Amino acid sequence: MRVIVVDDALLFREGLTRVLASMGFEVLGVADDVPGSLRLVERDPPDVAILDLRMPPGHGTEGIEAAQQIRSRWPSVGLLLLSQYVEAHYALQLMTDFEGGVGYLLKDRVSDLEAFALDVRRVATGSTVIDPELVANLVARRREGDPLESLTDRERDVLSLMARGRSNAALADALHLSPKTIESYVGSIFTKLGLAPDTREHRRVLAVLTFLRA
Amino acid sequence: MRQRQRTPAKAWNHRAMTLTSRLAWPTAIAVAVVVVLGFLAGVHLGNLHNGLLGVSFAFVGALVIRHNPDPDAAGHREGRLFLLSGVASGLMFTCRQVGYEPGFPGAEWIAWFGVWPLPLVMVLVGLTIMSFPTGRLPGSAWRRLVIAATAVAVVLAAMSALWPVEYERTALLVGHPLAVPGSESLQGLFTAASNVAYFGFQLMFAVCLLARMLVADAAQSRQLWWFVGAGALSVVVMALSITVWDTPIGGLLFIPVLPLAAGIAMVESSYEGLVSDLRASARRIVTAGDDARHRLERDLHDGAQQRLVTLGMDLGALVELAAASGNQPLTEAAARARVELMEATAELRELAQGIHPTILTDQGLVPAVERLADKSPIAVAVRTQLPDRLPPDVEEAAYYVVAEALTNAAKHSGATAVGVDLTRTDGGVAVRVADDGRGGADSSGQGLVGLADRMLMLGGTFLVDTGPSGTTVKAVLPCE
Repeated sequence: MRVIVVDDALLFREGLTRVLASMGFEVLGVADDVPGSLRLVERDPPDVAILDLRMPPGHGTEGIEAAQQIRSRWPSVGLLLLSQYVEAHYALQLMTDFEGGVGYLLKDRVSDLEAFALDVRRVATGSTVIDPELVANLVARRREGDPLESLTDRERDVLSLMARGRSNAALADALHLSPKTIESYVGSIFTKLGLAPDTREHRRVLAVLTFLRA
Repeated sequence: MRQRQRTPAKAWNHRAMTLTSRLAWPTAIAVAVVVVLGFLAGVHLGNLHNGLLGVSFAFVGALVIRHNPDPDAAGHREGRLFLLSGVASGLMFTCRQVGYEPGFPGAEWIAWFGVWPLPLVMVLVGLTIMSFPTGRLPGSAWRRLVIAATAVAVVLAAMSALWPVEYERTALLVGHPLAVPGSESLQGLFTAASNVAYFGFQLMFAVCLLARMLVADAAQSRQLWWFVGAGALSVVVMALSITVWDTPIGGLLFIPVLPLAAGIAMVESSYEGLVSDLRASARRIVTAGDDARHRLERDLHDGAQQRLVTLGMDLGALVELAAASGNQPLTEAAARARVELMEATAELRELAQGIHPTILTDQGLVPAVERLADKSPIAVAVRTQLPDRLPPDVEEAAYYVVAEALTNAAKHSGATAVGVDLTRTDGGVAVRVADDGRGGADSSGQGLVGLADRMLMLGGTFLVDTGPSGTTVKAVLPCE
């Protein structure tokens, strides 16, 4: 699998390149800003572009801008955005702006090489990946009337994994349940939360994240 | 030769000026006493204005001096001029009043002291007017004019001292104490010269004021308008007094309004100066703190946090190597180390964002407040109708209002729900955080007091309303 790495921090760029190489990825090139990233993709479009969310000149969303440009010109390129801290605000923006093939993770996730490699491959195949700490914080947020109270523990697990972008198949695998059971859990969750059912992964991530942030 | 120790000029000035501050009110009261004594001789229209001027100028002078204790301040200098004019007018008034009591011992000489200084006192009062509000003349050209006017005044005063040329006009009941020959021939000359001179003086005063107004900055302009306005009003009152009531008394009684207006203008202005100084000081303090916090968060992000991410990658590689080598205990140990690192970096993230939330700078107030709501141990509902971004000062202040209020609600009040409302008001942003707890917010507590500086800096308002049914924090931050 072919990837590019775009980050203005030298140490991280090199470390990530090493990690990717050790997990069997081919790193086509590295860049440290938005124009550099576009030049790389243009030269040789990768399967996934791994981008730092925040790059010079420092408004905080250069990574998203680069992702938007790449998506509009090379729609098949997966987009994985990394950051030293994750914000629900950006997750929602990404889910609104992009339809699948996008991920948003803490840079810290790279320390679990196998899980990270799996996430990169998920993004390459068009799935959605949202950082687990972000989802956990959102699920844990106190709400008046606590609408999540009506969910069973199992359903909450399913909700969290859904928010992280897992497909039904991935859910079945992770929770050691049959796809049919997963489907019924998902249906029950959507009904209890009053959400319109949607089997498209990225749509349901957006729906759940929006619900959690409301 | 004996060496004399020289006191540095500034220290000497300071001691002299502090003396002025201490003597200001006693002097003004002394003038009042002297003038009241003068009025024992009755009210005489020709002299009335001098008494009123004396008291009013002296009192306004004392007030303004006390309001501007710094001897370098414009107000202090102008106040001194007012006080001096008041003293001169008051003394002249009472001395002249004696001229209406021929039986008073030494009346001739005392009254004489109330007549010849007139041109000099007029120039002094004029100098006071021309120096308003800075306490200094507007330029060297004006200084030269005043010197010339003083020279003319000295000549006129000398003539008046030697000959009874002013006595007919002042209608005194006593005669001139000196009997220098030649007064009949000089009378005509003096009358003509003094009419021209007095008119010229008053013209000079008025033109100087107008010239100042043309080049004045906003603060001085406001003060000048007070003065000029009062002057115009006094002209109107005098005209009415003469035409409608057929006496100049109305206009004369109105005279003290001029120094009063000047005094009010100066005191108001010194308050404004004080407030803007305080505001600037608060801004420096708050900005220094904010800058330090921003730098700290940036340094953590670029330094320690980055290193820990790299360390994480190294640990991850270690875990892979250990797993590949088949050494179970080693793999488990490496995996545990990695978990601990993740927890440490999570804590560091929270700490850094607690010092300064990057999203506040990058995305603005609303996303940052939503983040506070995410983290809050109490349910927070955020309602907002704000435009996308606000000035950074305002966003920071509003953010800290919400942050402090939420912290207090969580820590002290036993609240179960908090509402945060962010709205646009006329000329500002309103922040309202209301909880349903027990109340008892300590408004002298560190957090809330820290906010007070931000409010002062921005000129905003801050209110904590606390009671058994909950606490509401309301802040309004001006911005256009």
